[in-house]
Amino acid sequence: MNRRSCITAALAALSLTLSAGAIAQQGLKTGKVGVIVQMSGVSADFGVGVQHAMEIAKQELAERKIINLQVFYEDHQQQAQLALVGFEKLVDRNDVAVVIANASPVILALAPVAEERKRLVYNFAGVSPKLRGLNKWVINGAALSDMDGTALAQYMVKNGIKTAAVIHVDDQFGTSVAEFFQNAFKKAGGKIVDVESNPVGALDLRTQLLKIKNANPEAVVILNNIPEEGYTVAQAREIGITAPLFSNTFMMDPQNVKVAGNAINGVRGMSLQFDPERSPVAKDFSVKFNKRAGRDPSVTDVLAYDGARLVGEAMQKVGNDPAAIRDYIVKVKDWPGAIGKINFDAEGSISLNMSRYEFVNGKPVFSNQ
Amino acid sequence: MNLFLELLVAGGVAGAKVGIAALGFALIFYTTREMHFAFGAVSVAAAYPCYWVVRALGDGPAATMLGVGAAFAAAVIFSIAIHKYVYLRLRSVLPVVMASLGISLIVENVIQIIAGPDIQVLSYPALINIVEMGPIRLRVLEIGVFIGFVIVAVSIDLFLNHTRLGQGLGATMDDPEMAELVGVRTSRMRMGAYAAGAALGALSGVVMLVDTGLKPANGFPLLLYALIITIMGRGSMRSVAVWSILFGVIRSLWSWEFSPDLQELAVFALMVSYLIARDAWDRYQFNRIRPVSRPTGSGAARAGT
Repeated sequence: MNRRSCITAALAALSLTLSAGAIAQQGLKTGKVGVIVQMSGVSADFGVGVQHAMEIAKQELAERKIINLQVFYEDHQQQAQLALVGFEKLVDRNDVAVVIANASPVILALAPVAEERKRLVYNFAGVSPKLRGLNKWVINGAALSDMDGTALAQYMVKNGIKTAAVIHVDDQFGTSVAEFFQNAFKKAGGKIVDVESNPVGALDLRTQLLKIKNANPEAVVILNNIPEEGYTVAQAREIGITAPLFSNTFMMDPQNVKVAGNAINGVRGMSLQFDPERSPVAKDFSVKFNKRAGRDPSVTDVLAYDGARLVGEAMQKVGNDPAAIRDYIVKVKDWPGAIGKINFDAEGSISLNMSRYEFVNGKPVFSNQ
Repeated sequence: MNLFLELLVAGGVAGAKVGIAALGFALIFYTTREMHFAFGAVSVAAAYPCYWVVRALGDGPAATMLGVGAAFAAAVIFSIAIHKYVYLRLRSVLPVVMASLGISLIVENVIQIIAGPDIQVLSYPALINIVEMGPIRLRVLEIGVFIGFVIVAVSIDLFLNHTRLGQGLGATMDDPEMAELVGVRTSRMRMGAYAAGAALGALSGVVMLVDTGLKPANGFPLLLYALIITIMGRGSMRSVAVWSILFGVIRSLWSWEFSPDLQELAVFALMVSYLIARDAWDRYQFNRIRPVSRPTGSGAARAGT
C-alpha cells in the first residue's frame, strides 16, 4: 500500500468514526453548561482537576444516552471580577442555562448577576457559610462550613480540648469559615487563644505559626486553601508545634498530602468522605479520573463530577429552562452520587454526612460520627 | 524574647531564599538595564528538568547533581536566547517590558501543558531533618540555603571588586558607554550577566522544588520579591544582599507586635519611604551650594599668565 492509499484509508476510517459518533448522538437532547474555575495562576491544579471531572461526566452522559452536554470553560484565576466577565461571556455568547463554578468569593459575586440574568449557578466547592440561602438561582452542591465547623468544634471539645488557635486564609472563604468555627467552639465551651491569617497563595507561614506556638494552644485548627493547608502542617511541625492539628474537607486533597509529607500523619478533622469502594459509581469515576489526571480525585473533583451529572440529568428531564432545572435538582431524593446519596435542603444547599478522619501513613482513615 | 529570636531567624532565612533570586535578577538588570520580567517564569521552568532527571535516574547524589546541572543549563541557554533574539532586537525599554511579560506568560502556560498544574516536590529526608539551637528549630535545607546565600553574595562581591573580569562587569553596570570606550566588551558582559543571573534563578527554582514544591505559577512571586529588592538595591549588589535579608527580617518582625495581615503593607511602606528619603538626600547633596575652593600656589600663577 503506497502512502496515498494509506492516507485515504485513514481519512475514510476517521470520517466513518465521526459519522458513527454523530449518528450515536442523534436523538439526544443537547444542554449547554458553562464552567468557571481557576485554570491558570496559582490554583490552576484545582481547576484542571475539575476539568478532568467535567469531561468524564460529559462522556458518561453521552455514552448512557442521557444528554449531549456542551461544556464551555472560563478561567477565573481565583478572582471574582474575572468570574463575572466569564459569566457574561457564557450567557451572551454561549447562551448557557447553568454555570458550574467554585470558590466562595466567586459564588458571592455571581449570585446577584445570576438573579438578574436568570441563570442557575451550581456551586460545587465554595464552602463559606455566607453562601447559604443567597438566592434561588444559586445551588450549593458543596457542604458549607457551618456543617463541618460545628461538627469539628463539638468533636474537639468532646475530646477534652479547651483552648485552640486558628490559622486561616485571608479571603472571603477563610474569614467566614474561621469566624463560624470560633463561634461554634466558644459555644461548645472552648476558648480561642489566637487567630492568625495568611494571604492567598502563601508559601511561608512560619511567622503566623510562631505566634500561634507562642500562644501555646491545646490544638491548632487549619482553615486554609490547597496546598496552603499542607504547608501549614509541614511548617507547624518544623517549628516545633506539637499540639494536635485539626482541619476540614480541604485537607483531603492529594496536593496537601504531597507537600506535607509525613508531617500530615496525625492530622484530624471532619470531612465529606469519598470512598471509591463504597459504590460502583465512585469506583468507576476514581479509575477514570486516575487514568486522565494521573492522580486520585479529590473531594472537590468528585463534587464537580456529581454536579455535572446531576445538571445533565436535570436538563434531560426538564429541558434548558434554568428555573425548572433548579426545581428538579433541589427536589432529588437520595440521588446516587459518587460522594454518596445526595439531597438538598429547602434553601438549595446539599445535605451530606460528615465523617471524622485521621491521617495514618499519609492516608485519611475515616470513622463515622 | 524567644518569639523575637525565632521571628528574627525565620525572617533571615526567608530573606536568604528570596535573596538568591534577587541577586540573579539584579545582576541582569544592573548590567543590561533590561526589565527581564520573564525571570521568575524561566527560573521555575528551569527547575523542571531537574525534577525530571531526578525522577528518571533516582535521587542519588550523582542524579541530583545531573539534575541541578540540567536546570542551570536550561536557564542559561534559554535566558541568553531571550536576550539575544528578542530583547536586543527590540532595543527600547517598553517593548522589552511587554515582550518579557509575554514570554513569562507563554513559559508558564507551556510548562503547565507539559508538566501539568500539580505541585511537584523532590523529597530528601536528610534535608528536612530538624536542627535545634536553643529555641530555634531549622531544617538542614534552610541552614544550607542561608549559607549558600552568604557564599553567593560574598563571591559576587569579591568577583566584582577583585577580578579583572568582574571590574569589567562593574564598569558595564556603572557606565556602559565609557566601559566600551576603554575596551570592555560590554556585549559579552551582558551575556555573562544573563548566564550568571539565570543560574542563580535556576538555583532558586531548585530550592523551591525541594522546599515547598514547584508549580508553573510560582514564578510570579519569585519575580515580584526579586524586583522589589533590586529596586531597593539602587545599583549596588552589596545593597541587594543586605536588603534581601532586611526584607525577610522586617516582614517577620512586624508580626512580633502587630498583625501579620499587614506585614506586606508595612514592608512596602517602609521601602517606599526609604526610596523617597534616599532620593531626596541625593538631590540635596547634588544641589547644595558648596564653598568655592580658592586656587592656590602655582595654579593661580599659571592662570594669571
